[in-house]
Amino acid sequence: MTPKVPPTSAPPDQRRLSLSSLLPVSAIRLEVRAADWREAVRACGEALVAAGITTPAYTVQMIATVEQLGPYLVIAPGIALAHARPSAAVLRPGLSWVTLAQPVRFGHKDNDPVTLVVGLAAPDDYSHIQALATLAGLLEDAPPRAALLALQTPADVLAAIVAFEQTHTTDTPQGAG
Amino acid sequence: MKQVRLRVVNAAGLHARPAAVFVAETSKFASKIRVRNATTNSGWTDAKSILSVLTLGIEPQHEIELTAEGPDEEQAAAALANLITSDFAGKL
Repeated sequence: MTPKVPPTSAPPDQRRLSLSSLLPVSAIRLEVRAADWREAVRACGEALVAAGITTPAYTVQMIATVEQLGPYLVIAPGIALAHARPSAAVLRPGLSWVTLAQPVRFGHKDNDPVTLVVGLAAPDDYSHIQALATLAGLLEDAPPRAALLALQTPADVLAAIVAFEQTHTTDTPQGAG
Repeated sequence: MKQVRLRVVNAAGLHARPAAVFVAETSKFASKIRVRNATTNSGWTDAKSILSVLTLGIEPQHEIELTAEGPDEEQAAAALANLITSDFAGKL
């Protein structure tokens, strides 16, 4: 019997990329006007492109993912996690955060309409798992979620995320300074 | 109550799409189903919520524990064990 070789693990530093380190303030856009889910995902993709995270091809891939796989990316009431498979259109791992002036429908049976679209771009399937865990924790409970969505500037959103990470991270090494 | 402990063998862990597939499976059952990340010693959370599953940060080779409690707990535990140990049965 040949022992089964486990899949190669990612280096720990690759897995521990924090949400705040992956979400540049330039990729946060608030009160964006979008007529439908396509425009909302496009806005999310444009924010990724503006921050140097992806090329415009990734935006097309995210829209195609919704068309092919359906509205499963609406992961909680009012929240969509737009993404596509890792591809050459991803220049570096990162996220964008787009809130909508008017909610749009993705066709999800429980979680429509959507007011926050988070764009996720990853060069692989695993480096963003802990950032995703932070994002999920941040959005899990309705009262803090509502408070987060009421913030008026991108800098305030990022500051709230950093504050959340400082109180909820369990395994971050203590940094100097 | 049925409890199972499973190793996540898909190469990616439970990122967005596997979490959605996992929750689609748990949601087929009437039983109350809870899950925890045994590797990180996390608390128990609702296995029918994508957000809750994502908070567990389940990476490749992590071990998870599942409990199912209700009228179809046997079937639920068997189906979820099959999903995880078969690398999501081609549903990704």
